[in-house]
Amino acid sequence: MGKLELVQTLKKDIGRVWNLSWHPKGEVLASCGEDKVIRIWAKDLTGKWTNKVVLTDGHKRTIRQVAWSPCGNYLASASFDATTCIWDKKSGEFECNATLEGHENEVKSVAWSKSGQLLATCSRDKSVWVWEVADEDEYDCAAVLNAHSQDVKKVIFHPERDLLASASYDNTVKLFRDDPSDGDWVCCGTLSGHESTVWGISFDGNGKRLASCSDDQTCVCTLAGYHGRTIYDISWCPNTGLIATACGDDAIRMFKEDEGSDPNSPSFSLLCAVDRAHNQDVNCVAWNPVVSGLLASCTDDGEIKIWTLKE
Amino acid sequence: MSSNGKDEVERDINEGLRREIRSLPPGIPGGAELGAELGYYAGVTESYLRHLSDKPEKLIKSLENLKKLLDAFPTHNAEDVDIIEEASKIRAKFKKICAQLKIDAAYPETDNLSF
Repeated sequence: MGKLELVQTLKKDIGRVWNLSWHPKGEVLASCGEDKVIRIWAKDLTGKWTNKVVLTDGHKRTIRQVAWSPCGNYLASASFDATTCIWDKKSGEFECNATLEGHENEVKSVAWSKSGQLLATCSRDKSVWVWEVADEDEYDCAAVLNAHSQDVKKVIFHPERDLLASASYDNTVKLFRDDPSDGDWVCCGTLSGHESTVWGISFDGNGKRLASCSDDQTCVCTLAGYHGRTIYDISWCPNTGLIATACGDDAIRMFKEDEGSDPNSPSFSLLCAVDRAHNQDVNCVAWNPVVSGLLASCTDDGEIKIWTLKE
Repeated sequence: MSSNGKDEVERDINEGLRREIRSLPPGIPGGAELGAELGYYAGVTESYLRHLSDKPEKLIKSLENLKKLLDAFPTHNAEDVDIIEEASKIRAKFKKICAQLKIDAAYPETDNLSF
C-alpha cells in the first residue's frame, strides 16, 4: 500500500494557483495563477524548494497554464488575456520573445508536441489552434479547428506522435492530426462518454491510452464513486504508471492499475487518497518526469505542495 | 359572449397574426446576412490570391483551400448540406489565413449577426 507524504508546502500570498509544469529534467517547477506572473521554483543548497525567478509583464489577466517545451529551453504561458507567450532565456534572463495572438478570448491551455516543433492552444472561443515553430521566435498558424461546440478546456499532445487531444465543456474529447493532402489539420476522432465537462486529459507513458476526468466525477475506465466533486486534473505518470487526480473536494487520489489487468479493458484500484490535501479545490496535479513518485499540486489559496510517494 | 370577451379574442387573433408574419421570413434576411459574410471572405481571398502570387506556398495553399470551400458553398436552399457546419469551416479557415497574414480582417459585421 502506497502513501503520499508531504515534502514541502510552497506558499506566496498570490491568490489562486492554476497550474504547474515540471521542467523536462525534473529539477525546476513553474507555477502560474491569478496574480498574472509565472514563478519558477528550484531547490536551494539546503535542498528546500524556493522561488528563484518571477516572470512579470507578460500577461494582463490570469495565467491559466504554463508548459515547458520538451527541450526545456522555452516556457509557454496561456492567459485569459487571449494571448499565449513564449519565454526563453537566450539573453541570460527569462524574457517573453514571442506572443501568439488569434484567439478571440480566454486561452485555457497550451501544449508542446514531442518534437517541440508544434504548439497547440485552446480557448473559450471554442477553437483549437495549432502553431508551427518557423524561425527563431517566429510561430506560424498551422490550423484553426472549430470541432468543439463549447469552451475547450485542455489540449495535450501524444507523447510520441503529432496527435493532438482536446477536452471540452461539450462533454467530449477530440483527436486531431495533420492531413498532408491539404496541409491542414483534421479531427480524426471524438471520444464521448462523459456526461459533463471534461476538465483534464492525460496520455500514459507510451501514448497507447488516454485518461480523462470530468465534472461528472468519473475518470478513465470509469472510476466512479471515488470522487466527491468535480475532478479538475489528471496526471498519468510516465514512470510508474500511476494516475493522480485533482478534485474539487480538496483531495488528491492515486490509482494503480490492477495486476493482470487487460490493457484494452483495464481495471484500476484506489492506491491512496489524501483527504484535505489542500484547504480548497485542487486545481492541478503533476508528476515529476524524472524523479519517480514526486508529485506537485496547487490550489485556490496560493499553496503549492510537493509530495512523495512512499511504498 | 360579452363584448369585452370578444375584444380579447380579437386582440389575440391580431397578436397571433402579427407573430406569424414576424416568424415567416427570417430565412430570407438570415440567408442575406450569411451571404454577405461569405461574400466578404470571398472578396478578401480573391484579392490576396490575385495580388500576392509571391507569398509563401503554405499561404497560397490555405487561400486556395478556402476558395474551394467558398465555391462549393450552395447558393440555393440545399437540404443535403449542413450549411451551418460548412460556414463554420469557412470561418475557421479564414481565421487561419488572417493569422498567417498577420492581419486583423475579422468580418466587421460579426456582432450584428443574429445566429
